[in-house]
Amino acid sequence: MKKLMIIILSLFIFFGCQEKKEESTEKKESAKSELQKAMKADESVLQIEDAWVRPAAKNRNTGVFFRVVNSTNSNDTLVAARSNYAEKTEVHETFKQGDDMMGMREVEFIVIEAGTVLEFKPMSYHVMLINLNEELLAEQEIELKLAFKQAGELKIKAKVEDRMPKMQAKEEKSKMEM
Amino acid sequence: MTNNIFSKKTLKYLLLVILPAFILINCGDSLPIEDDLSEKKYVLFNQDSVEVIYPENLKGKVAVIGYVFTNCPDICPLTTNNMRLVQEALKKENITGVEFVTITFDPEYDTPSVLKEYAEVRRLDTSNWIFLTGDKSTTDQVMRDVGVVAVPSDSTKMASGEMMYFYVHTDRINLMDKEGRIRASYLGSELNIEKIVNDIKTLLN
Repeated sequence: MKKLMIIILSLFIFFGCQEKKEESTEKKESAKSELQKAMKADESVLQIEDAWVRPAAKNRNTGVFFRVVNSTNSNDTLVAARSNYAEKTEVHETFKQGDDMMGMREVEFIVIEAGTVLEFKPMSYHVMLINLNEELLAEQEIELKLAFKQAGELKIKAKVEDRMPKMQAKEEKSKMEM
Repeated sequence: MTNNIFSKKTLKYLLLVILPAFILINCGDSLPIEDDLSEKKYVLFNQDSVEVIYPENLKGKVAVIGYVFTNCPDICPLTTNNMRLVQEALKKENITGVEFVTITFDPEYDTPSVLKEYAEVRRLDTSNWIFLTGDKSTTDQVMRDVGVVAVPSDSTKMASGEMMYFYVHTDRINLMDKEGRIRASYLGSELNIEKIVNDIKTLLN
């Protein structure tokens, strides 16, 4: 009985740890390949990819999300965002407080380190469009400018979409594949 | 001899700890009452300015309830989107008898017409989804009774001189049974759709 319990317990620990190890290696590999893929695109300039904005009514607020790929050799800093679609355009971050409280605040600048990809994504950094001049409906596209210390002002186009965070999108995709 | 003692101990452990735990997990009430609103009658207004006595008017239906403010650019849209995903999942399974309710904690800004726009611009299916606002003291009471906290924090001054406030707030979706009792709480922005659908099925049966 004792031997049996020891064997079962050891097997349980062994397989449990093994699974976690594989999962962590997989995550690292995936992040690495994503970075390499992004870097290959253009190694000389800062790039803004996959920009999208949530739909919202006129006079309301919304968030713009995108990916900043810094494949250059130097750090760069996002210092401002500008848009003609809203009375105010600010760079914000969402933060968690305690177990289930969420908030949002303006940030003055965000550093994008050399050789990294920074995602402006739901529940994290975003550009906030405050008091929209017009409603934004799915499938529309808006333009805005992001001002970086090194790269200067970059014009980007963001598609109006109502996306969910990546984690959930992946879950939905895997469910669909099943 | 040692083996015999160990076996007895193991057996005793199994009987005293594991077995009751197993029974508790499997036979216990998986959705205990968290807050009982069955006797409450909050006077609120939906997106068409029609009076709704909440939760009285929802009795007989299971309700999925989200708490938002429409000026929220990130967390509240995620909560709303998650509710939409639940609505779609239920439709796929032809499950009826469920009402979706979004209640604002910023009623001074979120008037019925603002809530109507909020739904329209997101192309939400309002056939079984209402958006509620009302007198600030009433919505505050609703929030207090279900433990939802919303505190104005960061703000920005508009050209009109008006201040726009952003709330630090509880990230919450509730599930209410047919009698008006809150039976489950979830993180609104990180909802497990499968889990809430299963909980809804439990409450419908």
